[in-house]
Amino acid sequence: MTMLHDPTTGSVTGAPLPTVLDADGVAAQWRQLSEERAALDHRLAADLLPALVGAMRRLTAPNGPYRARLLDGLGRATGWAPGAIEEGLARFARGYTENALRAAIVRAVGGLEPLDRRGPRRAVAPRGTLLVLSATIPWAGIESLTWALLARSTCLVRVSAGEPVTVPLFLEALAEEYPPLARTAAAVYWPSDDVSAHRAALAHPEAVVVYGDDATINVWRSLAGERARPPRLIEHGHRMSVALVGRGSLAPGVADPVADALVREAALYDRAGCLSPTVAYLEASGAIRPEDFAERCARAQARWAERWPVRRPDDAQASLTHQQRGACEMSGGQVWAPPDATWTVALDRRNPPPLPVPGRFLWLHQYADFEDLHRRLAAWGDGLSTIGVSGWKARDAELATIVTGTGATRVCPLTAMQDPPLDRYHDGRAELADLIAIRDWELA
Amino acid sequence: MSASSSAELDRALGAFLERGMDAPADDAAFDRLAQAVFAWQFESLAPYRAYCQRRGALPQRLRHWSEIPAVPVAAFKDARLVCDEGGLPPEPARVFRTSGTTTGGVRAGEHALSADALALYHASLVPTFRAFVLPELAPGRTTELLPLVLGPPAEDAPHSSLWHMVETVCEELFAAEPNHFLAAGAPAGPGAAALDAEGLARACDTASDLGAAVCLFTTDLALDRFLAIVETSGWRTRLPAGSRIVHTGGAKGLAREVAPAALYARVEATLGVSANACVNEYGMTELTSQFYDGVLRTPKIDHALPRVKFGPPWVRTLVVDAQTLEPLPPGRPGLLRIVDLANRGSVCAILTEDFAVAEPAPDTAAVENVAGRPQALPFRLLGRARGSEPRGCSLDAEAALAGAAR
Repeated sequence: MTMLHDPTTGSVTGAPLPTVLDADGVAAQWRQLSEERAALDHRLAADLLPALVGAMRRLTAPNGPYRARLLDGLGRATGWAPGAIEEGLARFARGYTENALRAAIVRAVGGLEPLDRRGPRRAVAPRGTLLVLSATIPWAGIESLTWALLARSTCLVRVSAGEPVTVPLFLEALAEEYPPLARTAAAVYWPSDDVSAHRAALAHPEAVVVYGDDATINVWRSLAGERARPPRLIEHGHRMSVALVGRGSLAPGVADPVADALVREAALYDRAGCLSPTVAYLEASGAIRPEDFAERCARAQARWAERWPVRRPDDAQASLTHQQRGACEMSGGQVWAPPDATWTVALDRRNPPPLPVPGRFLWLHQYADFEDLHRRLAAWGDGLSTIGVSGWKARDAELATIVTGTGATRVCPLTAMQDPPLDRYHDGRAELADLIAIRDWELA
Repeated sequence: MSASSSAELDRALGAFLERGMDAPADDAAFDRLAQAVFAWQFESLAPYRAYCQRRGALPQRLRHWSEIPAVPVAAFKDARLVCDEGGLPPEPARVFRTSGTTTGGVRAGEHALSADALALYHASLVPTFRAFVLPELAPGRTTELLPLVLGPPAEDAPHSSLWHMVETVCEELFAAEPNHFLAAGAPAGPGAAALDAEGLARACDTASDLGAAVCLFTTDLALDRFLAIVETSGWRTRLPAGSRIVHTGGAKGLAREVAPAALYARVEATLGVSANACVNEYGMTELTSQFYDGVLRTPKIDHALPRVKFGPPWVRTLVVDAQTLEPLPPGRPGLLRIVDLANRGSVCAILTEDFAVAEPAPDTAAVENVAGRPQALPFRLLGRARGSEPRGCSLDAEAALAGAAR
């Protein structure tokens, strides 16, 4: 039941892959990147920012050459609805500005000066950064690439067969905008079972950024550990997010737009991203019953499924969907869903945390009190990423207490779950700060 | 159809089971009984009644057994699904739990059986085992095959339906007492320490010296482990003609860890037992009846891997579309849905997590088809669905719960 590999494109999805390399090719690519690095040594970060933002502008320009290729390629690669991809792109592009990049740099290293190796704190960039992408939300790759380039680290990007589109196109756009900067990065592909290519990719860089599941990260961690001086490893493992719907949002007149926003955040990438709500915890003291809120969510699911048609679940996902719907119902819960496996709203009444089901499967849980809510959130351990909040006005202190001791790294408005600001701490860390070391410069 | 009492139902079921494995298939009789069982379960199991009502599946509306709402096996993890008897939940005589092959093994599935349900379980498993594993055995006789068990005694694994089944068939159908070669309390997939490979090899040598054929009961993982140990030492034997192996578990789990073809080749090389004497059993804790390969019972039909699985006449299977749960025609892979009349004590219709493809019926297992109704057919088991290329960074179920448990 695994997806077939298409030997003509090398892709599992139908979207063409970038250059496919073997171990020798990977080594040669690193050599070439190293030769380009010197060209950036004396460029200021302030010069790079407009280039990066310009590339993003080219990528998204309505009548430009890249946008159509990006939307088409991403559609074929991911199966997401064109409207959802456009929405995601628009949201990301809106936040990818010079000001946002500056803010992220300030937050990470105090300002642009350290990146330019001026002043009392001077960045020591990794000689090279290997960026290993998974078929995740497309923009994550652009973010990590951005930090590596701003640090003046050459960057080899190994794209995923499941999403080989976005970063290569961004680099193409960057090559038009600022060729010397684009030449310090390359997006390539080699099969995930080509361990000799993995080793060749790891032979050079001083930093490695890996996206993926536990197994993927373990492989890279283990291979990186083979080097006498292992590279710095920045891991972005799989995580999940939840929503808290407080009593302020469980009232007539408010509940409908809240349900709509909740479902929209789940539907945006068919819940493939770690920022999509998996479970919504409903406050018991709301004016409307959880069943009524669930019905509103179901209506929203149907609406969004029309607007952004659901990516067809694979058979494993469909099976899990039917299993979990039935298990929920047989345990006293209620399920709203079409006969197929495309979307589900499940009002669950069991104590243990529900199993996250891929796709547009939204669990709803009513919590008894704050202690109960805290226990439910803590049960996700370090797997918890974002908590999207609605209807908690003026109760920051309570919320802070509830979140203490959970693995959450971000608390945000429900409507902004999928719009993390560029200067956020991804997985609780500033990636730019993790990439570089700081050399104190104490000479006058 | 009105609900019968459990005693009436058990009498009717008993009579149906007593027709035996070789009775002509009778879909009409099966259908009548299935509807009676469904009506009784609808009345006696409140969560199931609600489940059926939400689907508009009421006993008086049901036209065919294929319309009985199937409960997903995952439902057995959080709710004890036992039909009331006399208006009250019966005292369970046995509680079987899954070994954790389902959904990451975080919450074990559970199947509680009352004394009556357990009796039905025995009434189902013994003739089915006899038909598929000991087809040459004359009625009323016990076999002289030596039972060797690469698993624990049932009393050491009281919640394992597998080892209970082995114990039951050994008591009923074997003249000799079984010998066990797995340390007490060891899981079905043992580590080297738990497995008495030397003891099993010695028993095999003795049987070979005496010319006494054996019946080896094992899980695929235990057999794989045993073979790996004795292959390293260079030990091998040729078990006497008539020896056979009953193995289970090959296609369960997230990955097929032990490929049957390779396993059979190793069995032949090490034990001298051909693939045609290796019978794969497919069952699950949530069910009462089992399915088997027909290699011994119907040796002349095509047993190419994955082999066709057959069940007893009181079981029907359908392969359904994974997306819509609608029945599929033979040849198209989908999820396996099972209606097992012997599952009278809980729910008779189960939706498994296993993928299968229905096989056009060979003459030995042909069932009378009711016009316009899905036809129950034997199936080839394809195993549990694996996710396609991992997509996104959304945490999957197993990883989430494993992470939470850390």
